[in-house]
Amino acid sequence: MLADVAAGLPDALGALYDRYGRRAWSLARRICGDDALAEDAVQEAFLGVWRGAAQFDPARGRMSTWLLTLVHHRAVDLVRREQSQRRRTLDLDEADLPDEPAAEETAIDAVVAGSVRDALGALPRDQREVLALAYFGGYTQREVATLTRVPLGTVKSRTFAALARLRITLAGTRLSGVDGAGEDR
Amino acid sequence: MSRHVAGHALHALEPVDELAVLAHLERCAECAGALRRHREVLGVLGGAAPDIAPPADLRERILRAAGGEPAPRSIREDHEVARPTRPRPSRVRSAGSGRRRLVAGLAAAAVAITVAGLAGQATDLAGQRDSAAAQARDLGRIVTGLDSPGSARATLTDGHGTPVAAVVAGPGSVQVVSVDLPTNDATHDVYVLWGLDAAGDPRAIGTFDVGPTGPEVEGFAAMPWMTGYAISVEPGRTPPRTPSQVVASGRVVL
Repeated sequence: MLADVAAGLPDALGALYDRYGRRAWSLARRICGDDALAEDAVQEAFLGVWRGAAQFDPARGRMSTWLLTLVHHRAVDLVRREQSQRRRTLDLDEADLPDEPAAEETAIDAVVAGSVRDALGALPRDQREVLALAYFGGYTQREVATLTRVPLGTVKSRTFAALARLRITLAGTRLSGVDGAGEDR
Repeated sequence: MSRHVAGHALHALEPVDELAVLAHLERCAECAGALRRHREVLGVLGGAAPDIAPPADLRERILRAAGGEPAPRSIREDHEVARPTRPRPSRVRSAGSGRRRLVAGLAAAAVAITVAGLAGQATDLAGQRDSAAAQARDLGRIVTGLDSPGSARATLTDGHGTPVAAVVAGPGSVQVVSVDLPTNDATHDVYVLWGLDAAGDPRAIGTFDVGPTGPEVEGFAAMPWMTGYAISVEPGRTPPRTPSQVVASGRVVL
């Protein structure tokens, strides 16, 4: 699929969107909290893949990981740019975990999302907090330090520990994307 | 550095730290591997966001936007360094508060240039005067460029948070104005303007020198969709693959 995108085949980008568009939108919408910003983030991420497909190096990770990284980074940039009142007044408890699955969520996705929520929930609260504020809230680590009133170095240590622990937990659940075979490589 | 790599994966570092990590990643396979593993975890985390159906017309909007672009670029094309071009005049519209501050700073710099021009006249150095006048014209263009519809701008600060340069990126060109960068010795080193792409990777945009006469403006062919800019000083006259000594950086603000 990615080779077709890299070749500039018109249908390839559509196929890519059909496969990952919903996931990309869900992430962008969660971070932006705003349809217009989320649309821009998703569009620019897919255009980023369109422009950069020829440079994608499968040795550096899955294509889906790359796409979601682009969506995340672009959504965070847009939220920071917007200086959204919603994000700036985000309650720490709200930032802790993704919401419960929507009614239309597919059964498989619900299982995956549930496993991730369980893995997040298993983290110590201080680690979960800094990870959620940075990843879903779009705050820089310096801002997280201010919000949580802990030293910046502590935020960095907690973030590193949270990612390491999540990795171990998620690898144990055999979720695709962590220590699995790369279907998109 | 491993804690910085985690912050980089989260896109949560301050610009100067981010560029330091990028430079480190180029020469540290261990940290590059750690970054890949962090992104895998975050990809799973991102894929578990509450499932919401996207707007029905988003797919068409993306395909339409892609259709209006040239075909994906090759690696070679993407790593070419732009040649300097002259900045182009832009239309003026009302300024926001952040822009007003930067515009005020640049206007003050323009006054300094004018003074420099007068000094040049006093000493009857026609070359200096002409050069200062050209700089004043260029600076005027970049100031108006700050308020052009669709332009993106970034104020670049040094390690102490002091603004030392500004970048304005329009549809066809990107311009950098150095307000408080030290003069470089063009026989030994050169300043390099870098853009950070969506994935956080640095792209060399062009090289420039800073002389003793004050603020200077340099223009380059635009690279689309940069999320931030940085300036490094590099030995020789050719940009390396990644910045080695970042002296200023800043995020893009539309």
